[in-house]
Amino acid sequence: MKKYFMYLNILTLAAILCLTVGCQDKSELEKFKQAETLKATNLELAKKFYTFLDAANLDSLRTICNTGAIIFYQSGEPVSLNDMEPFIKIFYTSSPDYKHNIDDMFAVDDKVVARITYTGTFKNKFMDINPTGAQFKYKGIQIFQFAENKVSNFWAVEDELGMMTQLGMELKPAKGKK
Amino acid sequence: MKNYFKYLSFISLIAMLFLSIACQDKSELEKFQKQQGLQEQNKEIAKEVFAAIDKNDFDKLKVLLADNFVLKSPGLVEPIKRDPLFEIIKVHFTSFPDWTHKAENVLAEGNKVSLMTFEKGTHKAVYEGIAPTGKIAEMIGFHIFTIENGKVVEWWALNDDLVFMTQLGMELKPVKSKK
Repeated sequence: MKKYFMYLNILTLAAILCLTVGCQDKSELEKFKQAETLKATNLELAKKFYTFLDAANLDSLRTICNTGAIIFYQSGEPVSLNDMEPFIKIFYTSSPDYKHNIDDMFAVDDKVVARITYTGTFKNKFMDINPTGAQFKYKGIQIFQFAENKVSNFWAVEDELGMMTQLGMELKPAKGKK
Repeated sequence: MKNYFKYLSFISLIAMLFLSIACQDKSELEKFQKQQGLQEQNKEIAKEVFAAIDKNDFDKLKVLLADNFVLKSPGLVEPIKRDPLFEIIKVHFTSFPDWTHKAENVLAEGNKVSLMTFEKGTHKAVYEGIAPTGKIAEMIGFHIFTIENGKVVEWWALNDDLVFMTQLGMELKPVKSKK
């Protein structure tokens, strides 16, 4: 009888131990799985961003960006989406088929990194540059940061020099320099 | 006695069930933890690349960059291999001997690492035909590394070259511009 009680106690303790360890691991595993779910959600949001942007659909674009979203474009000062909207209109008026082609994209925590090839046809005036009808292609890397399923910060560096070269510009010494 | 056996069997089954679930979860958890460990390692490798470049430590770079390494960047006609990259670095540091890369926002997922670099240096010697200005030029860079077995196999680099060249006294003008 005593042996049976002893085995009973050992097995009960073993069951409790397995339950405790299992719960801890499960809790940590759940965290990883939640992070994977968040990444998948953010990747889809980033794709939606490009779909809206390439349709020059600023109304829809605003719905997936926080009102206080900050954009860090090239080496410039941070700007808001409102500040960028006139430039977006200029780009898509100049090249109605302007498109962000995703070459590579991955998510980390609350961020998404995208390597992009921009393509389009230079159909209408861009700033002071007359259209050439030429097709252009240049590269960029963009990083999104999401909060509550909306873009909260956005960074972009692109080959602006390459783009302007394809639009018929070249680098020369500034006035007064040889 | 019969009740004790019943209770014993029940507890045994429960224990085995929890054990098998715990083992499955542990196995899956270990995969995630291993991946996380690898990603942290890759982040350090990416930072070490820029630290080695700033020191012109080509021996270290040979360890960090795989034999089949390639650099891809706009403006390059074709991807650059490791040894030609070393020559490019040497040329850059001849013009900007104090050039530094400050790495920030380092992100790792799978075998990829992305990071931003805030770069600057003093223009002390001719650079791409531009006479030294003595000015400090700054540039931002975005980079994506692909790392396999502890070595960088591919490096995508994007820099704000236009702003950089503007700081060296250049500006954009229409091709065949009329005065």
